Amino acid sequence: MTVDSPALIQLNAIKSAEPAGYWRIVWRRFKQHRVAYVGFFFFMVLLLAVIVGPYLVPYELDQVSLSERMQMPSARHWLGTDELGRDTWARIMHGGRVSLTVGLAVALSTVVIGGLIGILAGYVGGALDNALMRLVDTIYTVPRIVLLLVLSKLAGPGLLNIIIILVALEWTNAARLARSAVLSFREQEFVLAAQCLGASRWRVMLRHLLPNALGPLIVSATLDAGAAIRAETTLSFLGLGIQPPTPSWGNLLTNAATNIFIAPLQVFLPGLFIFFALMSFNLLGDALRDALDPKMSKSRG
Amino acid sequence: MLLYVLRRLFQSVPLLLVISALIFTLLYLMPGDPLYRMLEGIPNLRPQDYDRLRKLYGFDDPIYVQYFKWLWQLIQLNPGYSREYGQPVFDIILPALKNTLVLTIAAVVLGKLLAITLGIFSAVRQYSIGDYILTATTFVAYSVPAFWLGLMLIILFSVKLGWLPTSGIVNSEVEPGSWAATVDWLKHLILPVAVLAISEIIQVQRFMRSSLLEVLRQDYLTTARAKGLSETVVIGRHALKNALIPVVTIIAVTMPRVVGGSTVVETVFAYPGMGRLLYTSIMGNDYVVAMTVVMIIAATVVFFNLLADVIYGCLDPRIRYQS
Repeated sequence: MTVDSPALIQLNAIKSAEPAGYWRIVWRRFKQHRVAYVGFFFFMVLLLAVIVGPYLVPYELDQVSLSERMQMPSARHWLGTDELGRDTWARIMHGGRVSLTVGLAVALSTVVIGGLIGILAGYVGGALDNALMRLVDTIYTVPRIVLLLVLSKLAGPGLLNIIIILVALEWTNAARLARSAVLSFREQEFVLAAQCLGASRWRVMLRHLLPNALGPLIVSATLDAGAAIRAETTLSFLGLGIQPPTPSWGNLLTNAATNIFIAPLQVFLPGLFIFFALMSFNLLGDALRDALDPKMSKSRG
Repeated sequence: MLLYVLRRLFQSVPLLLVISALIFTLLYLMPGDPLYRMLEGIPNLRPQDYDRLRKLYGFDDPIYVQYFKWLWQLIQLNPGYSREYGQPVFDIILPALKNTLVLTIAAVVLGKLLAITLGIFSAVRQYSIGDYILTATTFVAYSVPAFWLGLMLIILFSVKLGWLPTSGIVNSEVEPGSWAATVDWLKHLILPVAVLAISEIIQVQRFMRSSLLEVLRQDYLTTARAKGLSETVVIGRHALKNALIPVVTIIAVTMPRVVGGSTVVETVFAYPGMGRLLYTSIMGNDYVVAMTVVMIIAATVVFFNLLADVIYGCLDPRIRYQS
């Protein structure tokens, strides 16, 4: 991981006897950050729940039981049942698989795609940079909800469509971050040295510039995951996005909202899981930002 | 300065054109026959009549011809008729705009004032218990989706307590024009205003706090204290002036929401505003209305972005725009 310039490595060697690379420092700071543990804990619990959760109850996710409609939580149905007697625990856990998949897939793709575009724009510069940044500006200027509504109506429902749409809109953050990181490194000695040694453009970009832009990109990925889950649940809530009978946290909420006077708990529960998911990603993002920021003193946490 | 503003205004025209072309193309690609809505009630329609109507409305023209026709109509402030309701577009947009303005102005004024007050409190009492509670609360509240918050408020105040109505803007049982009608109208506003105001507080409180903290560290405040000014004057007169500059900019950038409304909140409360109109017109294939709503929102975004830059230049004497 560590691709420090020789000068920096020497400097580190002088500063302390034990080798302390950038990522080692970041990891140490991250471990000292109490907020990071809370975020990580929430995330792991959610991940574990949606992976094993559906197997813990003897109900299929669309198993209708008309004699057990809209029940309160009980030993038989841990979180109660919906208006068709389907088990809410099973449906929320399956819905969580969908929502978390969207979050993680979008975060990973935006960082890869946005990061590469940003590095390319920053390193190549010129007309390409100009065109790409105008595109980013345009995407920023159109209100997000307009593009979300139009694109998801156009693409039609489905997990993959939602992921593609969200990546198409969210890559801009990562691109901006990567570009500004590259701009600040482009003229530095280690890049010049690599170029002098005959490294190709791609090699300079991927081996020398990418590792240096990685810090902000990781923070961006964490926050993008939260933003993607928020967008997916919002779209599914509005009836676009993931369509019933496939459950998602968003459409479970919409479905339950029609019976809000009879079974308000069923409205509360899916939202609580959305809240936990957003919370875990925001906590992680916050802790990572602090850990990656060289200006932060380690006394905080 | 004037030259700068003019140049920026001039630059915003191509941006708006790009956005309009983009959205027009996307809506053009939508599935569905534009004439279907109009003709679905007519049983004995002959195919040649259908073709004649398509030609009459220009649906057979290539996309760029349709785009420029539409653009020319929009410039003349005559965007056409709603496919859904058969009324002129502005007859549908104006009531929605009025409803949204009532809702968002109330929420923005309430939310931003509270946010700035709370932000100042947090910064002045940094690391106090109050600051910790506020900072933690806004951080947690940031992760609460707006639609869920709205539904939770409905559960608490409408379902459990029965104090407030769940949705809409009027109760049909109340006689219009009476005092009771006004009270009823205000009751309908409370929950949506609360949800929007809370999201304003979440965004601005943190920002106000960090902006004021940044200023409080600076030397000129030590000077102000050293010459014996009271803490109220130091914070209220000297520190706030500079701390508010970035906050004002952020407020200007978020102002388009006042015109565009919030699709999510208006949908949760079935509130007939711009955000809900945007949603229903896109979902209902009423693209003439949708395009006009989108263009109004895009124009306000461009305008307030420009305004933010101008305000920033006026408030911060260190910034000079080159013309």
